[in-house]
Amino acid sequence: MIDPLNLHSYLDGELSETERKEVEAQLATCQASREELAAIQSVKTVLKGRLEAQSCDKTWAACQARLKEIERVEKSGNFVSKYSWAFAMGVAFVVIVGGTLSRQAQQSSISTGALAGFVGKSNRMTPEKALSEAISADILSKVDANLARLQVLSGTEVLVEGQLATALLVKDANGPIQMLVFPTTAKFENLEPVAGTRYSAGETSSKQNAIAFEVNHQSVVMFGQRSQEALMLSADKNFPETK
Amino acid sequence: MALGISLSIKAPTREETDAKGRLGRAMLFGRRDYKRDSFEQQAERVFSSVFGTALRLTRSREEAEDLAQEAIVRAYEAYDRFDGTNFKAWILRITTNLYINKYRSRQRGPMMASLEDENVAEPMSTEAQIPDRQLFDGLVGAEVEKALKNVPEEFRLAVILSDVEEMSYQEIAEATGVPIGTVRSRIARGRAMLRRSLESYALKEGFIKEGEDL
Repeated sequence: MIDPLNLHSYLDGELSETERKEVEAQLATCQASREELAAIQSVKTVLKGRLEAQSCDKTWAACQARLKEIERVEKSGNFVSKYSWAFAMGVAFVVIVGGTLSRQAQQSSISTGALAGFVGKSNRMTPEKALSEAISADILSKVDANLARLQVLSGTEVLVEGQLATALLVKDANGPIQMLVFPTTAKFENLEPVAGTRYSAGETSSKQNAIAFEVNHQSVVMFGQRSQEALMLSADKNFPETK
Repeated sequence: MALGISLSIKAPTREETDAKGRLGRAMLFGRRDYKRDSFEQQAERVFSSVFGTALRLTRSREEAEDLAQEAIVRAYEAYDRFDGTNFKAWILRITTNLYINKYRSRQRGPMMASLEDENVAEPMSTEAQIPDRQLFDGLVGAEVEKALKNVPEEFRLAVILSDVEEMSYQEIAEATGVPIGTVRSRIARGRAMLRRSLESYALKEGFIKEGEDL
């Protein structure tokens, strides 16, 4: 008699061409093997033919509702708090890969101690609230940000050729904006001054519009999927010019 | 005093974002609507398989609902890592893994691990007078489900994935995390066990019907 394993595999279409022919030749001469084959087939037929599809429309609807909810949360800041570390790394990556930088060190108005404290927190995946508090206390207050208008989604310290900067992902009514805050005055090679304003503007190598400006002796770069004008408008609102 | 910075901003590659966290490229660039649409379209097509498998694994409607929902959510969260080949095999693998890791401990009943994996199968045909094909004719779906419930889990799972979901041995091996040879013997032995279980239902059924006829 043929090895039953081979008969199962034969019916499941899991034998090679050679094995299949071999089994068929043996089947032709072996009654017991044919009976075994029929027994296996009967079980397969019952399983395929008699099991009814179970009604699951309600469960599917529940799944859809959960997916929708997940999407909603992803779009709001909660998503970022859950993934704040990953988000921060995304931003950090952008900067670390990006810059070639030559600079002269200059004392900034943000103490490195404050930054270190903030970074320590963000590395431990601090919940969003604490993270926002840390950011608002240590960073944004010093650049005169109008926090009421901006939602801070995520932030992390980044190192650009030894220079500490803070990368932030913020959100206003028009969507997300990425920001780099340098605790020094900085100049950006591919951003051109915009006449009559405090801004320089241009685009990043990935064709995102970018603007830069100074507030309180710190340099802020904002970039995102919106026009330069819109970025400037957001900066006007959120980082009012110091008199 | 001036910082000269050349802003060259580059999107992280898929591998980079995935390595950093479970953050797919689509999420970074605001294509979430697209992600959910695309996922839902595929998931809806195979959901009856997900649910059916969950039901036959847990043997409880309530647990099956939980398991199926959780599997969908997990799959959605991992969708950025789906390699685009066989969605059904992929999502059934998630369902199966989830069941094994989380739900199985709740289940009662013997685990048959000690009996398995000898890579042999006993013949399942007997010298019965009535061929199985006829014997099983009178069985309805509910009886087949009951017979299936008597088959120990590993074997039941292999048989379901093969005969109900029509997955290949290779796909079943991936879904259940065991070698293909083990899949092969589990299917063979699972069918043999199921056959015995089906026979007892069929005979009982036949007996009752005969009794009614008299």
